[in-house]
Amino acid sequence: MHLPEPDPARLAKKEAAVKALLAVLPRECVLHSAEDLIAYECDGVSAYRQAPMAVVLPRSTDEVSAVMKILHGLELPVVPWGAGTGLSGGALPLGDGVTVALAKMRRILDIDLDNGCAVVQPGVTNARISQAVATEGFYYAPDPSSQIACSIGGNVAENSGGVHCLKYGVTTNNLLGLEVVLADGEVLRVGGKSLDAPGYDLMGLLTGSEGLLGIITEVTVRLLRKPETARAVLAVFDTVEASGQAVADVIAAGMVPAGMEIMDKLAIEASEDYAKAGYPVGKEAILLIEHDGPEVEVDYLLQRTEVVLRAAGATEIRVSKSEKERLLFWAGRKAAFPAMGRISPDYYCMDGTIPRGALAKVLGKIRELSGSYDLRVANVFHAGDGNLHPLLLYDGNVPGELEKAEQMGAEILKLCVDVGGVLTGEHGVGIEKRDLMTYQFNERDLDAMQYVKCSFDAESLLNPGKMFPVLRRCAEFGSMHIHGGKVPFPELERF
Amino acid sequence: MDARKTGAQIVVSAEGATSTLYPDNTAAVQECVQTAVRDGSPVEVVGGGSKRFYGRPVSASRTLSLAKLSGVIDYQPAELLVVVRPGTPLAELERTLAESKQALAFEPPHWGAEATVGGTVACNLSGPRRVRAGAVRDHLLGFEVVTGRGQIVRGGGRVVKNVTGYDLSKLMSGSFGTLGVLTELVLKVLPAAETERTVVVTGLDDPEAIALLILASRSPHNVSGLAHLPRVVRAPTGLSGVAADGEPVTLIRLEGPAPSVEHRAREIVGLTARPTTSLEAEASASVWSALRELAPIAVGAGERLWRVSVPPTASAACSATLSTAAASSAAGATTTPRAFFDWGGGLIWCALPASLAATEVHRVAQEAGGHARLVRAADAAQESGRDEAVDQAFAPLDAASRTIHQRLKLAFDPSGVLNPGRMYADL
Repeated sequence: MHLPEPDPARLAKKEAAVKALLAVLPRECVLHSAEDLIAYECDGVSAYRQAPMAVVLPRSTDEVSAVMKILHGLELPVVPWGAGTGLSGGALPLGDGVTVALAKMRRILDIDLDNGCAVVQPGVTNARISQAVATEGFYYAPDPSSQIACSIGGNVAENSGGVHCLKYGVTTNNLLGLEVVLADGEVLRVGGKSLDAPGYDLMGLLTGSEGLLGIITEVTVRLLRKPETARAVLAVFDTVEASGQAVADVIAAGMVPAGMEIMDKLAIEASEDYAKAGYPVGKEAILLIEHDGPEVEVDYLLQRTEVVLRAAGATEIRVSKSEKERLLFWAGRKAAFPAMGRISPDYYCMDGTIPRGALAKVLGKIRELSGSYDLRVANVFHAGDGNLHPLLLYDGNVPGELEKAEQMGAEILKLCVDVGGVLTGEHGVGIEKRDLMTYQFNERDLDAMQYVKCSFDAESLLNPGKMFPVLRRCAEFGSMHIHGGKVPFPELERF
Repeated sequence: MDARKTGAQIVVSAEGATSTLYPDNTAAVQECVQTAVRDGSPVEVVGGGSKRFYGRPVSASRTLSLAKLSGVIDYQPAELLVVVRPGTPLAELERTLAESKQALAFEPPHWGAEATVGGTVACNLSGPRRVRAGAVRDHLLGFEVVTGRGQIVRGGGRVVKNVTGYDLSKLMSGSFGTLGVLTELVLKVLPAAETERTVVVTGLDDPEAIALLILASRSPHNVSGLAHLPRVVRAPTGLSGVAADGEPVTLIRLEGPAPSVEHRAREIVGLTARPTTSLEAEASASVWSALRELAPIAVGAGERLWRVSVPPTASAACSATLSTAAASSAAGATTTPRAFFDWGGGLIWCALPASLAATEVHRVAQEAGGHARLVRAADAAQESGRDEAVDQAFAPLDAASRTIHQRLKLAFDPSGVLNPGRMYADL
């Protein structure tokens, strides 16, 4: 990946920018010395690093707005930063830009259980929302693996998922309102505590916009009542393909489990070595299925699931008999990523989504690629929604291995698109998959996305270089300026 | 335009001053839009026309009907998705899904036999199960559209989990055909519930009923329908056996496997000290279908139908405020303001006299923390021309939001040829 060269004309504005920022923020909220910037050099994709020109830590929406007005005036690009846990390089700093970190905005402003929602600032972690309402029996459903650390603002920007998406949806399905500060410092509020809002669905557009449309300063999340109970099944299969067919059979039987996860042989081995969850080492695949709801419903669904799994050829079926056992089943799955550190110096996590029916074909091809690139691959799969996480194992200290892993990763993602899937299911495009966008979308499709970009940020000051391989100048799309609230073509009848 | 065939696929029929174009494939839609741009002649885009009254009227000399761009392209029950053309009748799609024991979880209202899938998406119109399963916009996975620039664009995909680029499916849902003409839709489908039951409580006033609905929605019992019909509205016929005529009725629906429904219904009954009855399976389904189709409210002459979306805790008071305002606006009026509640109180359907200004309805809704939308203008006024309220069918946008709306419209439809004015005067 080639990082953009800082523009000397922008670098020359550093002193003026810092001075202006210090006029609206206290000293501890403006970081600009080399040693203070180290912590912000990279997000969750540590292979790409670059120190920003400065980092600002505003404490309120007003301060974010003031900061954006200053940077807009100086024509300096801005990279929003939540918790820095993103997995697509979406928060990778620009050497000639300012990183706006939301870590100091971490208050829960309102918990309103009668209306099923909470209003929180963007720096609040995903897990803290659920913790804050746990004693009342509520939770916030989307549960990305990084939920202890990742921020809700970042979740909104990336439209984060988790392991319970098939039944409970991703971030965008669990929001009611947003407040964002636009590139020019103006504050935009969309939605609120009602289930819909007037006009176009701007909240839907902003969710998953990867910091390119606005800086999220407040989020109204939907809260759900915690299910009365949850139980998990662990089924063992002789082939990964058979486990994939079992998933299709469960769905065909009319069930929508809370979670369905497949792990292959290498993922099982690595996890077991790390988490000691009692996984069947040496077996080709395991399928984890979780049902939640009232006890009577969970019992009923588990019985039916067992019948389906047996018919699908499961060689062993374990049903959790206690909460402790359920958590143990999951412990292995949740440890899959860190466990890779035990068996490989580095790993590269892919995130394509495929139609479930294409699983056998895609896994077969990944095996071939693994052979031809001579890189081991462990497969972890959100099987319910077709989201594949192949983990490519490499050694970054061996020259050329990172590049090899990147190349192989790109081939896997193209394969996902070839079978009717998409480049990214929950991690985002960021800088990592930016250059592959043209493989999934044609020029007109990408133009339509840029219409949106131009409607929010015509000067392209927000997170430039991410998501789009080539950012066209908005002027190429014709005049979109609104003069005094009037649109062009006043002669056209529009009533 | 003359009544003739333009190109290979566009059938044109002329009725009076308006001609209707019936393209039957995407390229033909593209040709229609390009012609509209070239001629500077806007088109009104319609599916089956069943919701034409909803929103602002479009002034266009041509109608672009998607009725012939119809049919299921691909249905894969195991993938939980269906790909359809926009003119597919909603009823036809629902029948197809039902054969595989699946359904559209957002339970769309039809408002007429002509209702199409494309119109449903364009209006983002969701039914009672929205509280549990989400809205249309939560189920539109991908689409193909012809923009107002006459370009064919694809967005989203054919998988349920997808964050590749901006989520344009959300922008298309509920944009009332003002940004593009949808030519293909990818919808998420889900297994239909094995069975359902509705717990019926009678005699509650609005605040008591909403309090009970909130209690039910806060419970862990996965309720999938929460409605209240006050005394002033007609109860659907299916309720005649369980509630006395004119008695207020509060309805709570449970869906799922039979043993689970049985258990949860018992728990819900335990939430109230009042006597309850219940409706099983088909009886329950027919009552919710009647609510979805707005059977409780017949809109009379000189009345307008509004939908008001508010936080549930504000709904009883909001409805009362509207009722009072309506009464004071129409001294000696012959009609009574009538309302019923869906979405646990989050949605108020109300018939209000035309004497109550639209600005007032919007103000009350906004003060309650929500927004109002005119669903049907007053009939009498329509006959004599137009009801001034249609100009403000949608709640006013604040300055920041309005600017972005205008820019989006200009970007997707720079010549303003697609449904101009359908949502706002300048969109």
